[in-house]
Amino acid sequence: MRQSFMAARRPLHDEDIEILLMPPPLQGLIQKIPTVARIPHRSVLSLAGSQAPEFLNGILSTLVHSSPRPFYSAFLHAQGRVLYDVFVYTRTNPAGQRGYLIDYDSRPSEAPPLLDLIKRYILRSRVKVRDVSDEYDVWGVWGSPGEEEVERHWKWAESSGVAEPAWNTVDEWPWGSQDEMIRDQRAPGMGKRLLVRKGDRPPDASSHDLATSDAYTLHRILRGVPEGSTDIPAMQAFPMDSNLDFMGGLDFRKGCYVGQELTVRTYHTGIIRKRIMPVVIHPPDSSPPKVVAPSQNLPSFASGLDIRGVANQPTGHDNPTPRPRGNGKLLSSSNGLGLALLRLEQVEAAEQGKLAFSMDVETDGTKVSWGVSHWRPDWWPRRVE
Amino acid sequence: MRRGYPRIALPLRAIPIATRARSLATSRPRRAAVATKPPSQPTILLSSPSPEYIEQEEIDVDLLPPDQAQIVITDRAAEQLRSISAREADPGAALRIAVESGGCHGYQYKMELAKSRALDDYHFSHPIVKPSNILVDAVSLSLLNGSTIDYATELIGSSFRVLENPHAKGSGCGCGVSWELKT
Repeated sequence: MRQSFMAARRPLHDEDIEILLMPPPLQGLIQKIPTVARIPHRSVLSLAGSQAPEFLNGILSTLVHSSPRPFYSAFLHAQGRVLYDVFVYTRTNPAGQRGYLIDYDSRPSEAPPLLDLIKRYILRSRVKVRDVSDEYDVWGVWGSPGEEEVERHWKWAESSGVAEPAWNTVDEWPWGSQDEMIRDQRAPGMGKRLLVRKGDRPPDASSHDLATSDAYTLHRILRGVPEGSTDIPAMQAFPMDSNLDFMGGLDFRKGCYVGQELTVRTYHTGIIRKRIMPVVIHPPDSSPPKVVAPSQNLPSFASGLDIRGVANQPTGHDNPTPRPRGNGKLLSSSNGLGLALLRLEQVEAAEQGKLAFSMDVETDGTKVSWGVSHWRPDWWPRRVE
Repeated sequence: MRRGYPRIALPLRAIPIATRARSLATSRPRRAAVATKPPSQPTILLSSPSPEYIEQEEIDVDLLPPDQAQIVITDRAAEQLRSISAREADPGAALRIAVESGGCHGYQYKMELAKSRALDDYHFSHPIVKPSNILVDAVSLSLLNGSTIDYATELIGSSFRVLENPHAKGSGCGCGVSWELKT
């Protein structure tokens, strides 16, 4: 493209300038090191009883099959915002009865504690729920050799920008079939998630590197996977803004569940204006390396920091660019990488070189500016027009 | 901007009263408001569940003391219950109202005809129009207490309804099937 206009030696047009300014797309450095790490801040509830599947089906955002199997899902409130993003595992008790274990972020938030929330809906249903957090730790296992990905294709909504994965398997359930284990299909490469007896290590620990919980956070940031109340603030986050659709945590056809009304209306008639994306934080006025890797020389950043879009004014251009509206927000971050809720309008402008993201951090009364650059995870659906 | 235009004051008094009072509504707002509140009575409580039974069956509920169990019934709902009872030739015929979880706002009402009282039921009746039996189980009453039970007659179908539930928040879901609990 650049060569062709150089050869033509015609004056620079607006489009040419845009191409020149367009920054190269970034990508996350994905290393395949077999790793296990304990996932912090998680609690576990046990839910069992003869009516457990239909009970969960009425309050979770995904279809709950009548025979228990593991899955990823979310609790929404009636107005459609997320309360908890959860993993649901199966368990078989000594009497051979099957039930569920729910793994969720139990840090205090604006949402009512999950146990209370569930109890409120039980009424006369034959369902028993109790906290079993003192029996289990939650572990992540990834980069295992020989791990195969389940192929997925995408189902797009007509016009809202919502997309959900559909699995290219007929007889195999993508999230796995073992008790107390789930294949983490939120994104390719996420590996698996295990419930391990408190204090024990998962069996994979002998053949995998034992890493800190920070390593798990980095692992999911690099793949663009939001999780828990830092990334998906309870009572505030919308499910599709938080990529729950891309990650297979929403069903738009199952019928009534709490929060279904707004979610399905948005699917059909709305438009998604924000998404959570991975970002790299770097000194301002410098571009990040094309392959983004964690850097240990950066301070840590608090979640909730505003990310502003600042318009690039091309020199010799007299059309003033309007000030970008609204801010993005930094969510989880570690070693200079993070997840951020960004406005798609600004994301597109940044990809065309018309805008750059920046973040002001105040420490001890002095304001320091940082540059922020996003990338689109390679597994994200791309719509072919 | 408007300073240049002459102000036209409408001579209100000159307009006949009949024209002034006209509006798009066919009934006066004050009367229309009355019409949505049909005559009703607080019910009398005929029986309530025994704490021993609730304990024995391990039903997880804070049992409401009988003097706090309050359901209001409209006269037309009581009349309808009486005619059902006459039709069934059963003075024990009753309307059972239960709260279930479900729907996009979390809770919905379930109503059915019952023949007899269960041991965990509260049994209500209109004070004058009898028999007009309403049965509410102990768990459901904790989410229903203080409501008004009405029988609405409409062209597209008549049905019993729960009105003014003090435990329900806002207007419920768009299709009117489910409602949200106040917390």
